[in-house]
Amino acid sequence: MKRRDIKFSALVAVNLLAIAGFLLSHVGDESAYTGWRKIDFPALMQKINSGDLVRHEAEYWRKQE
Amino acid sequence: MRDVTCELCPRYCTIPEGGAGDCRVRVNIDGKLVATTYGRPSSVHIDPVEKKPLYHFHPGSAVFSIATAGCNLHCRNCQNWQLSQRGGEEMERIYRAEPKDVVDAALTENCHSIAYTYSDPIIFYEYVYDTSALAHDHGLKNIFVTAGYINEKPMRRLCRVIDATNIDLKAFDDGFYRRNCSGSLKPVLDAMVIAREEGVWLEVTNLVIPTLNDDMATVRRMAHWIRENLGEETPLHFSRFTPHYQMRNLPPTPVESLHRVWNEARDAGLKYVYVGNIFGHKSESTYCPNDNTRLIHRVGFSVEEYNLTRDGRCPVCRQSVSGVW
Repeated sequence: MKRRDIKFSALVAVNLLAIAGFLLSHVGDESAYTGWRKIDFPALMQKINSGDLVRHEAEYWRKQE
Repeated sequence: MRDVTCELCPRYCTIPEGGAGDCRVRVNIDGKLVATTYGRPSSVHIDPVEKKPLYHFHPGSAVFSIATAGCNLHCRNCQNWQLSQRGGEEMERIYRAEPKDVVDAALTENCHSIAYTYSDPIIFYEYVYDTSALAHDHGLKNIFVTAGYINEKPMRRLCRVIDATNIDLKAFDDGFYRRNCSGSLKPVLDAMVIAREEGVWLEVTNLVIPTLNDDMATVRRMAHWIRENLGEETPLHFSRFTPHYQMRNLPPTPVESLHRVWNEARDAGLKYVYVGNIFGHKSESTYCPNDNTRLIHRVGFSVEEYNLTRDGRCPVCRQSVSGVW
């Protein structure tokens, strides 16, 4: 095998590994929305202060230990 | 660190101060979980009950319908994404309507019921509960139109004040829920069983999407599950998909596909199977399961002819038809 072919094969292998790594990192990631969301908190507070939204205490929650 | 965990739906979001749950409208403010859209709907309409769709619950009646911003699912084909996939702070239009205002408006407009609908009312749970309790005090009925992605405890409690529900069973396939809705199937099935156990009138909707949930084996399994777990008299609505939001790459459901799934569900033993979103289709109407007499003739959302007896029977053979008439 020529030196040039070895370099090319290595380049292909690195690319394949990168693609495989990317795909594996997304396995089981279909529910990507779980958890919590960052929101525009100042905008929210502005709406609450103007009465457009409210601070009604929710039900069914607990403080995290 | 004053994180809180929301236990309303199966996501169990753990939310840091200043953050929102996945639904965008339940927010941790100063270490407390706050329902920011309580009494602040962004959508208010009067609809026929057939639009929910509920075909066996006071047909032809008017329903005062409300929704706030937010949703705990994120369906790629959402029809109301401008409402459901935004937080309250992103909405241009917000009405101020405390539970008493909603009940007063429903009575003024001669509505028979109040529907919590459009987005998923699970995320404005407290508003639904308080409005429903007050509505009952004033002789109004309550309709909960939902995808059913809720935990058992809040669902059972809600059933005390809800009279009818349409639960959107998006597919009888957990993979579909994960890929297209960022949810899962089992909590939805559980919610339907709870509604039935708690005596809430239940109808089920299934939107038939080409190539994603229209294979006959899945439809057959769904119909059998409904018959075994909810009863053969549970109305099932197959609805026609039209391209929306992030699912514009698929065509509208062919009418032939809807005929096939309708036949499959009937073959599985379900007595009341409907086809929706096809104006004037004969399967919009209700027929006697015994002698096939047309009992309620519907065209679109309009009831053109009503032949059930006062006690909900076929006028020809006296067969009883399940429903709230």
